[in-house]
Amino acid sequence: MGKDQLQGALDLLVLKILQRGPSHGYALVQRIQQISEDALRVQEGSLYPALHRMEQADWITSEWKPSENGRRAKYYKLTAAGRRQLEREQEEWSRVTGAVAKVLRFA
Amino acid sequence: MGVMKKLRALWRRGSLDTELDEEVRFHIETKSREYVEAGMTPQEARDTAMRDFGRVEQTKDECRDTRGTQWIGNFWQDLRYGIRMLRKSPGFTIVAVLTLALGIGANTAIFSIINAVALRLLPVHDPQQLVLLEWTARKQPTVHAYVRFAACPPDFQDSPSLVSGCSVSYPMFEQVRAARDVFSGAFAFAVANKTIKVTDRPTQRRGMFVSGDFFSTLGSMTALGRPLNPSDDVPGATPVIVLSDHYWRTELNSDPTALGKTALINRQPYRIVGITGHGFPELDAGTPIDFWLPLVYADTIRPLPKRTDGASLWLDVMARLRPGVTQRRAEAEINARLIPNTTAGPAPLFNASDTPRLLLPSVATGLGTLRMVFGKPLFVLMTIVGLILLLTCANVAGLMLARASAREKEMAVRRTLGAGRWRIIRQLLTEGILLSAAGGALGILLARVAAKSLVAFLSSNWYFPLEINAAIDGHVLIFTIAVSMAVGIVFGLAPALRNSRVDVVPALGRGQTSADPKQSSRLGRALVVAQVAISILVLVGAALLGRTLVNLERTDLGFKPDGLLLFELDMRAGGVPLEDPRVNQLNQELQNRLSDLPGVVSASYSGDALLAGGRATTRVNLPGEPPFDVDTLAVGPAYFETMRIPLMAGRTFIKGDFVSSVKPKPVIVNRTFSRKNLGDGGPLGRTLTEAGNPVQWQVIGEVGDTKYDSLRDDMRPMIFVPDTLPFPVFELRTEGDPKALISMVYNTVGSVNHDFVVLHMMTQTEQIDRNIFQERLVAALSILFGLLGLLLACIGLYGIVSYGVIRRTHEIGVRMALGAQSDEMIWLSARQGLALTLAGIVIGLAIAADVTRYLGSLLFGVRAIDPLTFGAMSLLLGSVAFLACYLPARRATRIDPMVALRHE
Repeated sequence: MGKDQLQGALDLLVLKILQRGPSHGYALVQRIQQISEDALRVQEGSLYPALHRMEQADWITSEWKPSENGRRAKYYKLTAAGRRQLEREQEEWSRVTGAVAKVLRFA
Repeated sequence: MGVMKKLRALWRRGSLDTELDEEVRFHIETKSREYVEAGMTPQEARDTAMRDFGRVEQTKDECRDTRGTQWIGNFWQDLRYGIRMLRKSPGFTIVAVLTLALGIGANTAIFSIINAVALRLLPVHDPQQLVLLEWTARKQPTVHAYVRFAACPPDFQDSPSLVSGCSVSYPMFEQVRAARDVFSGAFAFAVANKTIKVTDRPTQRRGMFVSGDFFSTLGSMTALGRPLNPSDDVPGATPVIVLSDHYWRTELNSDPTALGKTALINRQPYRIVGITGHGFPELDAGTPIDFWLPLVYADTIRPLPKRTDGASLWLDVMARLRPGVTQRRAEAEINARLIPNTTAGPAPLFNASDTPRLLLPSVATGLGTLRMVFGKPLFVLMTIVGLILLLTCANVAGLMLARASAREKEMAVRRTLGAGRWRIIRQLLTEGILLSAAGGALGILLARVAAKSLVAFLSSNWYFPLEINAAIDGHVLIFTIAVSMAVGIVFGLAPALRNSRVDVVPALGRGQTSADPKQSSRLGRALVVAQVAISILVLVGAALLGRTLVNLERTDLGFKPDGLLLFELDMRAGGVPLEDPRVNQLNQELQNRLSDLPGVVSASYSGDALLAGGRATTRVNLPGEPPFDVDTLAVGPAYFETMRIPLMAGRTFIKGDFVSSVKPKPVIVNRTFSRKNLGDGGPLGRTLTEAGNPVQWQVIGEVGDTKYDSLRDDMRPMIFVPDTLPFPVFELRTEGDPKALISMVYNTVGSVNHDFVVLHMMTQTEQIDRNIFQERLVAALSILFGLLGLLLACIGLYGIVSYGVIRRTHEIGVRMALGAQSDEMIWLSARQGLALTLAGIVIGLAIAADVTRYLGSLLFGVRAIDPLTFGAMSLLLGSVAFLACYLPARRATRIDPMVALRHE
C-alpha cells in the first residue's frame, strides 16, 4: 500500500475505534492489532503523527487523564466534526472497495 | 480557529514538547511492562518495545511538524547553532563580516546619495500631484529675455529634434493660475542670487521670487511668523520677506526677535515676516534657498527682464493637479488655453509651424538639477561599487566553500543523526544570512561616514554649498536589507548545496577529506577566477582614470597658478551700478591698494578667472576678410605680469591704454592667434574690427598661449582687451601662502567701500581643482575601490591556497617523509592558486578591452585600451597574488611530517 493510502486507512481505523469511546494511543494500537488479529501490523509509532494531525484538524480532542495502570495518559475523543469525517471516510472506503470488487469480478 | 491553535502552539512550545515526550514514554513503558510480565528481562523488554515503536525521534519530529509552527523553532535553533559555529572560527568570521561590511557599506553610501539627489519625494503634502509647466517646439522661441536657473526634465521620446524649456512668461503663469478647474493651486518662481543684509555684513545668498500662492500650494508653512500670501504679491503692497531656517541660524544667530526687522536688498528694505522650519522642501534637491520675496518686486530688484512682459520667459511654474484630473487631461486643457496666445499677437513667441506644445511632467522628486549634473559620475560609481559587492560575495562564498569542505565530517554526523537534507541547507543558509546581516549592520555605519565625506567632497567643489541630505532613511534601509539578504542567500547557497549532498559513510570513514582538490572545489576555483577578473577590471579602470587626472594636472597652463589669490567683486550693493563711470577708477584704486599690501608681489584684475569655466567670445574680422569668432578676455593693468604669462613681442598694457577714448584701441593677441590668423607679417601693428564696434583694434603685443575656460581643450586663439570691468575678478600674486592674506583683502576692499561684496575668494589652485573636480572624484573613488578589489582578490587567493594546504596536510606529510624537497612542496601548494590568477587576469583583461571604451569622454591623454596600463595592472595584481599564494604555501614546508601523518 502507498503511504497515502495507508495513512487514509489509518485515519479511518482510528476514527472508527474512537467512535466507541475515548482512548489513548497505546490502547488504540492494541485494539487495531486485536481486532484485525494481527493482520495489520503497523509501526506503532506511526500512529502518533496521525493522531496529532487529526487533532490539528479538530476531528478529535485530547485530555490528560489517569490511565488503567495509574500513570496519566493522553486520551483522545471524537468530536462532532470527527463524526462527520468518519462517515465521509467510510463512504469513500466502501466506494473504493466496491469498485475494486467489481473490477475483480468482471475484468 | 487554525490560527489560534498555531499561536497557542507557539506559545506553549516548551510544554507541548514535554507532553509529547510523556505520551511516547507512556506507550513504550506500558509495552515494556507487558513484555516483562510475559517473561522478558527488563532490558530485553525495553529494547523490543522500542523496536516495536519504530524510530522515536523521527516520530516525535513528525508530531511536532503537524503543529505547523515547527519552522520557527527550527529557525531559532539554526540561529543559535549558526552563531556557535561562527564563533568557533573567529578569523573567518571577522574577515567575512569586514569584507561584507565594506561591500555592502559602499553600495549603501552611493545609493543614499542617489536617493537624496534623485529618488526622494519632496516633503510636501501629496507630492505626486505636483507638475511642472514645460514647453516644446521645433525651434527656440523668439524672446526679449530668457532666464534659466534649474534643470528641465528632458523626457520626451517623440523626437530628438525638438527643443524644450521650463521657463515661461508671467501671462502664461496667470492663465495657468486661472485654470481652477484643472489645478487646485499654481505658483511661479524664479531663483536669484542677491546680496542681502540684515546685520552689518552683507552676504550673497540664493533666494527666490515666488508668487503669492507658493507656500499654500506646496502646503508647507513657516516655523516662525507667517508665510507669504497673495495679498503680499500685488503692486503697492508692503515689501515683505521670508527667511530660511539656515540663514536665521547662521547669520542671525537664531535671534528670536528677528521678525519685524528689516532686510536690505539693493538698499531696499523688506520686512521679515516669517522664518521657515528645518526641513522646508527644496524644490531642487541640494540647492537650498535662503529667502523668499514676492514676485511683484522682481522689477525693482533688477530692471530686466520685465516682470509682466509676455515675451520674457523667466519664471518656472508648478501646479497641483485637482483630485480626479489626470495629467493627460490637464495637458490637453492647458494646450487648448495657452498655445493660441503664444502664436498670436504682434510679437508671438512661436510660429504655428514650430508646433509648440505644453507638457506637464511630474515633479514629485523636485527639479533634479543635481540629478542631471551628477548623473553620469554617480552611475559610474554605482557600477564600480556593484562590482566590488560582487567581488565581496565571491570572496566570502569562496571562504565558506573552503570552510565547508572542512566541515564535511560534521555534516555527515548530522545526517546520521537524522537531519534531512533540507534541514542542513537551511542551517548553512542561516549562517550565510547571519554573516550578511552582521556585515550589513556594520556596513550601514560605514555608509554613513562614507556618504558624509563624499557629500563634503562634492560640496566643497561646487559653485555654492550643496546640502545633500544623504541620511539613512526608509528607502536606504530597505535597499541595504535587500542587498544583504540577497548576498547572504547567494553565498550561503553554494556550500549548502554542496554539503547537503555529502555521502555519509565515505565522509565518516575517510581520515581526511578529498586528497585531490579537483573533485570538490570546482565552484571555489571558479569563484577565485571571477574575483581576480573583476579585480583587474576595476584596477584597469582606476589606473586609466588616475592617469587622466595626472595628465590633467600636469598640463601646461601657460601661466603660473601657484601663489595666486582670486576673488570676485560685486560693486552694485555699494551703490555702483554696472554702467557707472566710476567703475574703471575704482578698479584701479583697489588694484593699487592691493598691490601695496605686504606679501603681495603684484595685483591685477580681469573679466574672468582662468579655468573658472567662464569664457567670452566676440566676432572680429581682419581688413578685407570674412569675420570669425574668437575668444576674448578683458583685463586690467599688470595682468600678464601678475599671471606670469610671457611676453613674446611688443609690449603689455600701460595705464594710458585704459582711457576709453583711445583710438585705435590697443589689444594683445596670443601666439596661436598670431600663427593662425595673422600669418606672415607678424602681429604688431595689425588692425582688427570688432562686429558692431566703430573703434578699431590694433595689436600692440603678443603673449604666450594659455588655457582659458577648460583644462581639456587645446589652447585657442585669444585676444586680450583693456576694458572697464563692472564685475572684475581680482588676481593677487603673493609670496608665501595666498590664504594668509584673506582677511587683509577683505579689509582693503572694505576701506574702498564697505558695501562692496567679495565673492568666491579662493586660490587659483583651488579654482583649477574645481574645474576638474569630476575627474578628481571619479579617479579618487575608483582608485580606492581598485585597491579594495585587489585586497579582496588576495584574501580570496590566500584563503583558497591556505585551505588547500590544510586539506592536504596528510598528503604533504607523506611526501616529505618520502623525501620531497620543500621547494617542491611550495610549488605544489601554490601551483593551483597561480594558475587561477593567470586565468582571472586573462579573462579580466579581455573584458576590460571591451568595456573601457565606455569611459570615453572621461579620459584625457590616455587611450581606452592602453597597453602600458593593462600591462602594469596585470603585473601589480600578479605580484600581489603571487605573494598571496606563496605565503600559505610556505607554511606547507614547515609541517612536521610526523604530525602531518597523524593528521586527519
